[in-house]
Amino acid sequence: MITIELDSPEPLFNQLIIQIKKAIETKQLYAGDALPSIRQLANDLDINSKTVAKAYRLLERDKVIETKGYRGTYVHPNALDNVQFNLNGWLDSQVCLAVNRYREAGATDSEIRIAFTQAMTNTKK
Amino acid sequence: MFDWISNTTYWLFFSQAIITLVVVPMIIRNNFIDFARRYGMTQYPNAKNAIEDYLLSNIRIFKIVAAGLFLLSFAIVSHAAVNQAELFSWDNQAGLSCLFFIAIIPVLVMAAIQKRFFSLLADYSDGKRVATLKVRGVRDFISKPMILFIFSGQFLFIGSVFYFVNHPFDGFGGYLNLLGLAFLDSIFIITIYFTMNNKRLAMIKDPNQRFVGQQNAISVNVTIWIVALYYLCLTLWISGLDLLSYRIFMQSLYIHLMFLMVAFASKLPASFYQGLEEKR
Repeated sequence: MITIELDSPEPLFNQLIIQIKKAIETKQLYAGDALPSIRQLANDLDINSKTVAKAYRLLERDKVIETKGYRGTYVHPNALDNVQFNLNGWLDSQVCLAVNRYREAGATDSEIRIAFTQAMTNTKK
Repeated sequence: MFDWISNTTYWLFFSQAIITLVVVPMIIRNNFIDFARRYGMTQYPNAKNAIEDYLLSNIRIFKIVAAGLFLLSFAIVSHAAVNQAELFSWDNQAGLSCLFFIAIIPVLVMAAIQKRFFSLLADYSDGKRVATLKVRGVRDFISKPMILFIFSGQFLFIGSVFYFVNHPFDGFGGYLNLLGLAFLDSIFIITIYFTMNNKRLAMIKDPNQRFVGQQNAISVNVTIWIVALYYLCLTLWISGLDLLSYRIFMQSLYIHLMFLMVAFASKLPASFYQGLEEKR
């Protein structure tokens, strides 16, 4: 079971991600288990299917779930290990390390910001 | 000689008017009130007064609509019976279809009342939504024997059409019947699809209860679909065997049966209410 709170400040897609990860951690879901379709979950929760799609997309990126085409969405074989991994936390620590290195090299905060913005623009997909 | 079919037909029309516009509306009204009170008031206690007000005003409208339509149907049938004429002094077959469309109005009114009731519950919702992570497919809602009945009904009808293409009778539509079958199938498939993907049911908090409600509605839909398929086959054979006087008889009985099934389907199974009484 998953529960979402519409009035919570936490975005709905994030609530879904947390609940699905929790279901895997607490062994309500196992590797290879099928997950409900985006439509089913969106209807059951009476939320927009794009919200569920976004949650599934991010979970797939984190290798917590995998989509097997028309056959549906399943829990990733390494989901139990991957749910522990916090991509945002890792990203924060990596950026902090980089920023500290640039500061040590003498770069000002504004130069670092400009460099980051340019890098983001130049490496845009 | 006493023409029992003609005389029975009038009684059947009276019975149809009573069943479809008195008995069935009474059953669906009672079932809805039962659901609104037993479920709505236990799961949404803060909406208790709003639910009572809603029931009071909407059920009155529903009763007026059903009573008015019953009187209209009764007058139509009485006029035909007194004058020993066909319905609307026109044609029994077409008249029966008109009576069917009249009878369907209270069912549609009740569907609208239920839809607005769920919107009312949404206004009093605590903002929490619960869903199951279990995958639900068509097979969870439709049993194997039912699928078998649907397919055998399709084959039987298609086979009958092919038979009568080679042995036609007066008024036989030929392969157009297959188009009719496709239309019938589409209506039921769309209805089942929308029942499976009904967002309004999110107001039923427990996913298991939601599933029981959906399963109940879909089972009845499928049963009506199966009955419709075999009824169509039967009408083809009745026409093909030149037993036309029985056709009206069969059609009226079919309408009786269909409406009664809809009425009984509106009652949710006891398992739906399990656990609610303790919460009260």
